[in-house]
Amino acid sequence: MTNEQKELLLFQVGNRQFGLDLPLVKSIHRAKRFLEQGAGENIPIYDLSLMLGQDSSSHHPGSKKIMIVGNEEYSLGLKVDHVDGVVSVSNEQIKWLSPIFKGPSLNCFPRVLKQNNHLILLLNPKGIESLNMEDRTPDAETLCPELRPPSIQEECEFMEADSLETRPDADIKSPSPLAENDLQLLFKQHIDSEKLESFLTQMIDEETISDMIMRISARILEESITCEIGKVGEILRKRMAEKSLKNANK
Amino acid sequence: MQTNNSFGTHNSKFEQKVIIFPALTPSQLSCGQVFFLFSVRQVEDIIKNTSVHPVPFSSPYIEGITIWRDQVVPVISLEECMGMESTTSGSGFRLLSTRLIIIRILPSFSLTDDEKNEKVSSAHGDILPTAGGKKNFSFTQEERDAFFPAEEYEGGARIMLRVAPGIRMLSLPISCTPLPLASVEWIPKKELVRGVYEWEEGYLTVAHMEKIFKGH
Repeated sequence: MTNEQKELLLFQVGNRQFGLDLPLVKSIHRAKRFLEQGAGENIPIYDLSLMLGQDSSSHHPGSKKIMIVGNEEYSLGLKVDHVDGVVSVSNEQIKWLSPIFKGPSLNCFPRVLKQNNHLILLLNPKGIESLNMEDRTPDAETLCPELRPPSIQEECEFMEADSLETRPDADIKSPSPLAENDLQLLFKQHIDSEKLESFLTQMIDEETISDMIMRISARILEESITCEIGKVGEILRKRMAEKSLKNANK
Repeated sequence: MQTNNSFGTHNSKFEQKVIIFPALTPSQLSCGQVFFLFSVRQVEDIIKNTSVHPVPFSSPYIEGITIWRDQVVPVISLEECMGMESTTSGSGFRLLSTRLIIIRILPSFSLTDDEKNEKVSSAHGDILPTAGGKKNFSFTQEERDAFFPAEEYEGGARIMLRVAPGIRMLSLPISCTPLPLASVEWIPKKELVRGVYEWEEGYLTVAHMEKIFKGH
């Protein structure tokens, strides 16, 4: 393995850092201005935070960039949350992913940078373009659509249609048995624990969750909460404590 | 162990020891506790925890990658890899589990030319579908070999398994009965298993780690 230096551009998508071969980067633009000016009308632009399922809300909108990447054969745009800068690394620090990886994961991230006991996946832009995602393949000239798994999106619509959306807690006296059972069945049938936790965490953060949902989710998540000290448990306990205090003060 | 050439070595000391740990499957699934069995030569390390970096779009049984002794190693769930029903999965399990085991695949590991082609093409983004669905690769043997230097897998390829408590070391021989794989209904992906043996405490499963490592 040679000890040649290689330049990589590091960027952030959500709370994760990724890298890209610098020679592949043609230009970098402020996302908002680039889209407003329609500068990339003939270039497909991919929102990496949506494609990779990363929450980019912690990043300032002004930091979001669109990187135009490619070579003489292709060009595409990648919308990222922050461009961190260029680093020079030796080839020895770049490792291939294990052969256990295949398909889209290997196409998109064939190599990884090992830097100070930290791993940074190196993106292959062509792999992003070749992704064949059933519910998130973008049109060639548009941004990627919302990447929520269909089941969770359908559940959001279901909950909203069933008047379980954003009513103040006081308006919901007690859940109807049928609605509660339907939701329990829905959760058990269609969501695994990870998706459920992620979905509920977001709902709780957005303060759109109702008393009834909290009761149902608490029961369903009881097992994971007792085993895992996680964000959902903390948020639920905090909210329950706040609600109890609020009720006591009334 | 009645017969298993996988554990044949020249070192009589290692021939006599194996490491087993319980699989996280419902016991009623197999009418008994399932254990995974490895030779002590395959087990290089047992650690308590490590930071695992998920790889987007990877198979569900792959938790991610981690650094172990300056190497990038994949972290997987053997149960999910074999298609077995797992009693715990997701983030709750990852906090319940107490150990990570490093398994060495082979003394020397190598990819076939086709396997190298596929990886190199992916890295360059030259995924070129052609008529008939056959990919068109245009790399020379020298180019392929340059991307996969022998030292990358020097000393063997490795996988890290996340396991539950209850790791034990047993001495051979173990009184057990080999089962025909066709009769083992609770392992859907039988091609990833070298053998299953029934013993007094349940079932001993020997995984085909080379196939698993190659992503079959």
